[in-house]
Amino acid sequence: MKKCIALVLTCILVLASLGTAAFAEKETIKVGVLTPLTGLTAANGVDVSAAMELWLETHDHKLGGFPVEIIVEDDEADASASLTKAQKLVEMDEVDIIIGPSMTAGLYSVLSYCEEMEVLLFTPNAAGDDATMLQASDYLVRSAPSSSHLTHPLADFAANELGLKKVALLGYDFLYGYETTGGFQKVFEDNGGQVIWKQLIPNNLTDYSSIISSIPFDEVDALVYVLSGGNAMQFAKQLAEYGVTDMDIKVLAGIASLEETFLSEISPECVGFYTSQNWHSVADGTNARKEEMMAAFTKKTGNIVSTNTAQYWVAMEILDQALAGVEEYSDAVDMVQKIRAGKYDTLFGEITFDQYGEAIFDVYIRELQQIDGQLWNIPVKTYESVSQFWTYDPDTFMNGERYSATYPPVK
Amino acid sequence: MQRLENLFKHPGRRVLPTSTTRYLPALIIISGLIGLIPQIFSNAYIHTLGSLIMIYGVLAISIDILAGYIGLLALGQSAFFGFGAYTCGYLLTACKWPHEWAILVALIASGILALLFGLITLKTWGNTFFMITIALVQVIWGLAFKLTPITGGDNGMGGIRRPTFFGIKFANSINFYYLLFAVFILVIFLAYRFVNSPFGLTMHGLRENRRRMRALGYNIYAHKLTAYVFAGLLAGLSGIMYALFNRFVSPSDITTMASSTAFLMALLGGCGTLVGPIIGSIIITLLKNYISSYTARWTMVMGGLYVLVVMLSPGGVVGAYHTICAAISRKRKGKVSGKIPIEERKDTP
Repeated sequence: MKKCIALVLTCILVLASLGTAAFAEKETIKVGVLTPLTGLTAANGVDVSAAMELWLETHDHKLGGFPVEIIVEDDEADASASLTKAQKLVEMDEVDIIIGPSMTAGLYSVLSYCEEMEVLLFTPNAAGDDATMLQASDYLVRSAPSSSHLTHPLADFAANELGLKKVALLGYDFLYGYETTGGFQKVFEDNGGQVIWKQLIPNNLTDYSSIISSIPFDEVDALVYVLSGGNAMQFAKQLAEYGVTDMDIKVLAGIASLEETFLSEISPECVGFYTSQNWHSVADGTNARKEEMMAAFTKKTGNIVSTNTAQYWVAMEILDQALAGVEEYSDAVDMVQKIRAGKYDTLFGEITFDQYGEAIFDVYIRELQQIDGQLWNIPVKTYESVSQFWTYDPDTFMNGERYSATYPPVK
Repeated sequence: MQRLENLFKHPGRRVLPTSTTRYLPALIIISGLIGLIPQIFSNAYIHTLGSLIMIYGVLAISIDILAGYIGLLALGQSAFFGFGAYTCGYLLTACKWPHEWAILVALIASGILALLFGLITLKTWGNTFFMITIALVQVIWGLAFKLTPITGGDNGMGGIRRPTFFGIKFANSINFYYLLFAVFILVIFLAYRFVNSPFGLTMHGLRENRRRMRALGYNIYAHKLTAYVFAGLLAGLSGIMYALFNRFVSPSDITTMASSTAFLMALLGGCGTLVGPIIGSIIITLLKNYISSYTARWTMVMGGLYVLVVMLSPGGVVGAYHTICAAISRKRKGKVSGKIPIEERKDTP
């Protein structure tokens, strides 16, 4: 009898413990988001904050089955502010994961700190090539393209699809500019093209007329420029004023040079400009997840989804799917390994990662078209599963000469 | 139009005395409280803010020496800050120098930069000098941005390690806090002795009436240059502290915005007092980091605060304190001596 009672009690205890495990609420995961809420790029951060709110509303305050708390902090698009806010997120708010920051310098400053504090850093925006190459970290995952990630396929498109032979190239005179223009030049010249004119400019110019007038339009098949924000808007405007849009040359605008968020400010004369991006906001029925999010975001904020906002959302999607099979979040390095090993269905389509933590995704070559009086970046070609190393061997790429102000040289 | 440097002339000795000795108790109390932060708060983020208060406090003191004591509107101190930080970082990371030498050489380099720049620019005063110092910041920022092989360009310079002195490892954040505190106290001591020395009194004279000082036979240029180099050394030292604290330096640390923030710290606390810049550093560092967690409009709050201070108390927090004390004192004296305040006299038959 005693044995029976003991057996029954044991069974009850085992079942009770199983029940507790099965129905226990997972521990809350705290996610810190670093994005600029002040300064020149504040609009990006405001949209990101709204997207994070939308995530909580549409996912029942859950991330991969874990209750989630999201804390958004202003990184001011500044390296030291990013670091101070990362310290606040980790030491005061005790976050498990940091998404951000928005700038490459901020990424490098926060990365060292996250390594020291053993916190997972998920960067959806900062682009510096080396973060997922020579300075790759066990604590870092990047879902955003690296600087040269998107100009490699643009160069391939220019050389092999458009058949361009000689181009003029313009970009920023700092590391981001070296990497973006360098990436274009290397792939373009490896495919038989030639950059015959290249100029690197500061990022605070307001008038580009002297630069545009110095471009040898009669000697080139195309002008390629990689600018961003207000610089890109002003440059496109002055190109139209100068009459470049009427010339018999192609114009390729790299990465964020024709962002959806400021297309309404772009002259219709720029129709026909090409860009490369891992995102487009055309509701073409190929990605229901994307169209649903875009509609919800526009309904919530009245704004269209920018690439930057989409990148932060994709970071949440990847974390959501990676955490789905996890019972307890404890180790950042394990989680990074798990994320890197997975395959994710996102706004950007299918995403995988390489061993250095950089995402591999489809890249769209988009042509600016006017439809019903409105400008759209319409995808005209898709490069599938594009790696940060393009088609080059990773070791050869990383150990070779790095993109700089003088490399590749103009021959 | 009022000349810019006149903003820093003391409106009356009753409000802001030229001597800093009367602020010694406040200096000791505030510095002591900063030193006690790790004992009072266990949260490492509070230690971070305490460290930033000390670092920016030193930078603001360097501005105070120029603006508050000699009447030079220097908005270029972040150039020396950045130069010290980058030099120290480069010597530690690329040259693998020991900390003692890297810090010493970075400090001397900041002083030499201040000397060279001072030799060229200190012939000027007021608005002209103000504009030239902004240009200096732009030059150093441009070098940090463009000399990618040395500075890392816009990626910044990382990998800076903290020192080990006398067998004590300062990689530990508490240990490093106390190292910063020791340097902070040393800076306050040196600055205090500097402004209260006979040389410091001549600085006061230069601020109040440089023509009279020249007539008395003082070499104005040499005095300005000495003060400028001393302030440059302090700014460079704060940059070195910053590089070792953050273990990362980027061009955004050397912008005119960084300079003007430090300038506002001195202005907000009260120029020409030594304690004012530290109070300003405390207020701005805490407000910036706490308000920004609650509202994206924190810059508006800070802007409003600056406007209020300039309008209501040009002498900053210290000036406001003196104004209030003077008002209370007048009221008391009025009562003791049986004098009737003006507004009460109207009702007196």
